[in-house]
Amino acid sequence: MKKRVLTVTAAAALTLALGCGAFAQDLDTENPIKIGYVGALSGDTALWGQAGLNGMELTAKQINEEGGILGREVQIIGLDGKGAPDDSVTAYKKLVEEEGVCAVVGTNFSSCNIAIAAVADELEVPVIATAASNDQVTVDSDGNLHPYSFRLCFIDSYMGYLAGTYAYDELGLKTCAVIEDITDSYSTSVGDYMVQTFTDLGGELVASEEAQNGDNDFRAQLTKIAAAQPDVVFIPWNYENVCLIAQQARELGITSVFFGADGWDTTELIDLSNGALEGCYYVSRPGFNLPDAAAYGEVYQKEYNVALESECLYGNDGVQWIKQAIEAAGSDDPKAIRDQLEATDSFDGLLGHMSVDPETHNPSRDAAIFEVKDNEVQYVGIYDPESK
Amino acid sequence: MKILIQQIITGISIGSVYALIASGYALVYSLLDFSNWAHGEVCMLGAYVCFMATTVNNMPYWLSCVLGIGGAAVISFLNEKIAYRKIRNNGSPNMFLMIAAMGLSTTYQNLANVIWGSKFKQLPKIFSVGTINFDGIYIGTTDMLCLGLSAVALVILLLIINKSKFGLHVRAVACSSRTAGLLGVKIDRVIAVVFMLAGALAGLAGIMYGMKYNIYPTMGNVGLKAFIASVIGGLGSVPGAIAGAVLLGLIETVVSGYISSGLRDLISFCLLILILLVRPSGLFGVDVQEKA
Amino acid sequence: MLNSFQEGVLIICCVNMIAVLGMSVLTGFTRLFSFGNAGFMSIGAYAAAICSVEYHMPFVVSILIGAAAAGAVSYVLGSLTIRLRGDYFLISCLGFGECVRVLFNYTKNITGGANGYSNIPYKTTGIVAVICTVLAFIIAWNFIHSRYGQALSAIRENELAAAANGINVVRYKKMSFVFSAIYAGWAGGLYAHYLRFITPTLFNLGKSSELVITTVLGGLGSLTGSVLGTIIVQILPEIFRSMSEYRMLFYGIAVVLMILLRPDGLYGYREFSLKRLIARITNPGKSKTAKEQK
Repeated sequence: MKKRVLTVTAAAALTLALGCGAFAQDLDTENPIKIGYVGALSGDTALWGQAGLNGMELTAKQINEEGGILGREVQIIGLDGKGAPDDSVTAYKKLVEEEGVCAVVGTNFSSCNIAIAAVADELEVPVIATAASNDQVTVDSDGNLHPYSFRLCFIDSYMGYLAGTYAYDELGLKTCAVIEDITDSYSTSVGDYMVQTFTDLGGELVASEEAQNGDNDFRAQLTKIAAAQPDVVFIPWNYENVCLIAQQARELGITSVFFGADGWDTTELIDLSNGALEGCYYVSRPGFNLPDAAAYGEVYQKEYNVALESECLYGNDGVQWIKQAIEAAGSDDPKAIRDQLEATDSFDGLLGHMSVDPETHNPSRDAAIFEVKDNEVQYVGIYDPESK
Repeated sequence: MKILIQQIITGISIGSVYALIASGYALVYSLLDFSNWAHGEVCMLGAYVCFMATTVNNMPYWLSCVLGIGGAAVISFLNEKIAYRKIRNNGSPNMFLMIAAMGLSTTYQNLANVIWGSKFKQLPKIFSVGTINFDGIYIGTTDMLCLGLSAVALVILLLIINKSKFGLHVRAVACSSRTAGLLGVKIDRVIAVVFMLAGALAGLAGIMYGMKYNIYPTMGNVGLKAFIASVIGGLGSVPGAIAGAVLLGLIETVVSGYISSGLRDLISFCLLILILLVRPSGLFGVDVQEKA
Repeated sequence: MLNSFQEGVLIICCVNMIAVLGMSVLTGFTRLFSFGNAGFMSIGAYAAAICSVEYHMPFVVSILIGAAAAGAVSYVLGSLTIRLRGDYFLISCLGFGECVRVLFNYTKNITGGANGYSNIPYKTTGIVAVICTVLAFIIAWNFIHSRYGQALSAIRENELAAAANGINVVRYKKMSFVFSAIYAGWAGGLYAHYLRFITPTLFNLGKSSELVITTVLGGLGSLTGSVLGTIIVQILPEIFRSMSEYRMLFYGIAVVLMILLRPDGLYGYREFSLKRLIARITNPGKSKTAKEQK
């Protein structure tokens, strides 16, 4: 707090010293660049929605301190989509029609983004999904590209492919089991791709179980998995459930390796799992392990007094990517931004380096493997099966 | 065989938590003929009170649990005092109580979201050993504790209702609140105490839930399962609710263990409808024709 | 004209209104609560969407098939459960709604499962939605003022007396149940062709509860009350959208306060009568005094 006061005082002094204030004159606040955010700001997934919005606001603040985009102030407008497709579409429309945003970041749910994608094509304002990893977010089920939809995260099939390959090739595991959330598209599609890759390589699927969002007791399913004695259990869930599943599995005597995807990527994984995830792996993009992200995390912690979530990094990267596109285009016209987003061949954010495939609008970026070891999440390294 | 025994143990352990919540539904239903849908949220709030006491205020664990149970009882009492009593006095139909309960449930869920956030919290485990291995069959220590506590709490509840003078009043009001009132039973007081009892049971259930799983704002949704259990057992019957809860726990685990985990809820709901068709007032239900 | 945001809100409001009108006919006249109407909505939505996408049927035909499918399923379910009383009927409907959701998640090959069903053509424009709602209102209005509606009113007021007078109580109850399901299916079909993408979670228990709450807030047995209730429940949260986390909190508190302070809903069901409804529409002040006198 003291530090902030000091900065403010210093800034005020500087402004005074420069007469009418260099910042104020440079930064055009009359005509701001508006960037929208749609996320679940209420309900049981509000944690990530709020984190994404906070991340964007912090980044916007930093950008404004450095002179804004094209000399104009950046404004973030966040609206609640409740994590539901219908509400998210309404929120997106409101941002575009009533607030006049030039681009929208969000959401972190595939179902919301699939619904938004069709609307975005009509209203012609680009939307950048954060963690919506379903293949249909940018390309519809008939294979047609949604020209105004982009994303920052991996797609389900790629994560499943990486996990399956790593488990079979690198860890040398031969039999697998999977437990999926039948009500969640992320869980079912990542899980299916994991198993498919693993069995295509020669592995064997010995147990396939399903549960539902909202379940807390997985022991009935895990008892069956325990009886099948797999080498690896794929758990493509979000981390809270991963921790429950892992603990209950260990209690039932399952000693297999557990393997997951980016739903595991949180700073709380260790605290919630009580050691049940020791020796387990997950695949995700680099993030928390990068020095830039760590530095950002410290600022974030100070600003909001809550721990950094990966959604904050997505929020930051969304804003920075739009900034890069606006600067390249020289205007905040949504269509120009879209063209620049599509043409992105290099963008460096807090989640590492990425480029965009204009055919699918999917980012191509490094994938990283993480291992839970000695009660902490350790970065194993970049993994690319193609390069071998 | 081992797998079957393991599944049955799991089923009973799941059912024991349902039983605590389901008996609260049954208690309230027996007096007021309405399903108190805010009951699951009382359970959630009790768990949060315990969590706050033990982790934030560093109180001893047993005291935190007592506070959690007491807190849930108070909240349940306040629901009755502030909302339900007024609706009853308005002379509104019973279904308005249910709608009010749904409103309260939404309110509490979102209140918890605003106060504590949607992050999952954990209550500390009491035992250092997670499970005991009986020749390949694993029994969780927390499960055993919960089962024991549930059994004790439910026996005490049944004793209160069947043996004490207060219990007599409760049964009198359940039978006919008007007649009971004429005979000098203070109806509002009986109802208030019953709400506190139900709340205390819900608080205990919430704390157990927090020990076994996690605490989060929507954890009260488990109340739905408990409600189904109390319908299976027959609404308004406490022993029925307990039996229904254990039965539902067993059905769920056996279905996911032997038929399909994806279709678990589908099959248990179909079974529920089937039970209702064969015995329209639940397994232990009484006099539904008149109560409805 | 309306921009796409306003049009979207209007369409969602209209779609919900159709479902609530159906619910109003069921709950207002039989006092049966259905927590499964989101299930019927999803049946209507999926049936209509599949007809449009797989079989390229015209929009109107798809919607009709969706509504009919929901009606058919409700007829079967109603035949089994309509005799159950109060909470038992409620829980069987609730169970049914959850079953439908699980089933649509499970049948990945037909419905896309949790991935959802996408690429549904955009047909439900604002005008279509408004026309449908007006039509739904007129049909419901005529239904409850027909011979059937009078029989239903008689059942609501005194079931035993109605049965003694030769009214087939079970048949009439079932009829209003099917009526509400057809409306839900109709709404679901329109919804699918507005959102262009449906997933089973759109039609969860929360959706069913929302429909019930709206019906009760509007006043049981009052169609105009249902209309008003829907407008309030749909539009109010829209105004507070930027208040995010407090939005649903206020919604919950508002429901409780409403029940406490205006126990009869916006329009009470006890006062329901054709005369007063007309009086209420033509001269709101007068009907109020009539109510007070009572």
